Amino acid sequence: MEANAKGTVTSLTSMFSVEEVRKATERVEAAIAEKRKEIEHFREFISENSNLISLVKKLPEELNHDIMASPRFAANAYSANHMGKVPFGKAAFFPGRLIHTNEFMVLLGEGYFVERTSKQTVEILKRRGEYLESKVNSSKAIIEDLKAEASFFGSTASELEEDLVEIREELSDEGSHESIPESGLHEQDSNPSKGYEEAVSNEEEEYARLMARLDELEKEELSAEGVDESGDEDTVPTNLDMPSGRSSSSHNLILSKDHEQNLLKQSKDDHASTEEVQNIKNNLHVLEQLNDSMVQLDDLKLQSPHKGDNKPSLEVMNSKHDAKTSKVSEMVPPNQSSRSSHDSLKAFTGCIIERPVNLPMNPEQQPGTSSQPSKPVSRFKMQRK
Amino acid sequence: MASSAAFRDLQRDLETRANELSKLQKEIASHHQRRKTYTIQLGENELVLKELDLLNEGANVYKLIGPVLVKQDLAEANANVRKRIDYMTAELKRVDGILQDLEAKQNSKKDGILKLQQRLQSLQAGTGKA
Repeated sequence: MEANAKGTVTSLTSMFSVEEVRKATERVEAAIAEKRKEIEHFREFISENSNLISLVKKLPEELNHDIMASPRFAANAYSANHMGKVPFGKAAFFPGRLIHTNEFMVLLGEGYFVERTSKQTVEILKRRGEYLESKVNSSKAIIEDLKAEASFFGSTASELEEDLVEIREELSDEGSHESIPESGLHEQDSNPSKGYEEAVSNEEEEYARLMARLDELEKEELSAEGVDESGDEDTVPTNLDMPSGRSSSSHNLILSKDHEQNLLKQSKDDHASTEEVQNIKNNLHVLEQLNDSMVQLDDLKLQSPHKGDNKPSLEVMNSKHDAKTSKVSEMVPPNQSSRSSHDSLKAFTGCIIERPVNLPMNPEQQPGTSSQPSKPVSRFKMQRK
Repeated sequence: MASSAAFRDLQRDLETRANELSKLQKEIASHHQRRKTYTIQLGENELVLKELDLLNEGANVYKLIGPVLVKQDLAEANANVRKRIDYMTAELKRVDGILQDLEAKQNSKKDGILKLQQRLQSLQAGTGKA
């Protein structure tokens, strides 16, 4: 991009090193493996639980059971006569049988036990099973998340290998049309179309805001104009009015000329419509003409005794609002023609004639600001930056 | 050799700070451990409470104290579990606050160490050139 484009291009490799991405991927993989293990664990619990449920259901079917040897003991020589053995400490077993087959002491957790029947126990166990299932499900969801993360890291890694660059550009008023699709083309993010859509909506938002701001400025302008009109009439004599109005307007013209140049440059760079550029060129030309004549006028009026006195009022007027300059400059021509009838006259008539010409040039940007076509936009741009 | 003295000072400073940081990290780890156990116990207690709520009034509830099962009133057991849950949630909150505090401290320590390291490096580069 050219020098005036606001944007940065950074290669992805400078932002994340390959090493770090690899580490991150490893970490995520490790987390996934851990969660998988957790799920395995839960699965074990679940199967144990269901075994227990079936056992508890079966136990009350008989009045009493011989204590059956667990598989561990079955392989042992002890269970020779198929008689159950009740473990007594670590060392001894003795034969026994289960009675009260419908009475269970269920551990609820935290050292709390409760006496329950088989049926009630089964209910408790089923609730526990549900709890375990929910745990498994949450773990699965977490694994899914982690997998998405891992795939993101993987794609980042592959992008790093491809030496992609990240392009960041700030949205500027004129540039937004061009810059966004461009960055989309570079595929700085994985789905450029989405980014573009966002940009478009942003743009619309921007436009709405711009219009709102313009309306605001207009209102301000109108009110300021009203104030100035009354103020000018009773405080400033027409005699003083002329030079101050002239100087301030020329001042503003210089300002706006700068802005126009900016605008021109930007719109050129952004490949704005040639029509617009043409408009701006016209504008610029007119302003230049005007300005030249203003300078001449300045030279002419330099010997005016009011000059020094006017300075402060000029300052005040400038700071108050620019809108009035348009009004003042409208007032100037009569004075001008009466006082100096040479070049400046032409300039001012040119001013008055040209301004209406300027008016339709960019109507969509400034509805209603008829007296000063280029001004509000420039100010606006200045504030926006 | 003023620069080498300053260098040594910086190094010593860095060392003490690194020690402090590792101490902090240990503390954080232990708090994390505590937090984990509390959350597990809290989950267990909530399960117990749920089950106790489901029991009808005549049910016999026992509490395992040491090697013996002590019979308890259902209401009493319920109240106990509730109290325990309250305590645990409060404790969890407290530990979380401590953890946040410690982590903020840790971050500031890390920043300080990073700055020190940079200064050391620049000093080293300066002496290397001289």
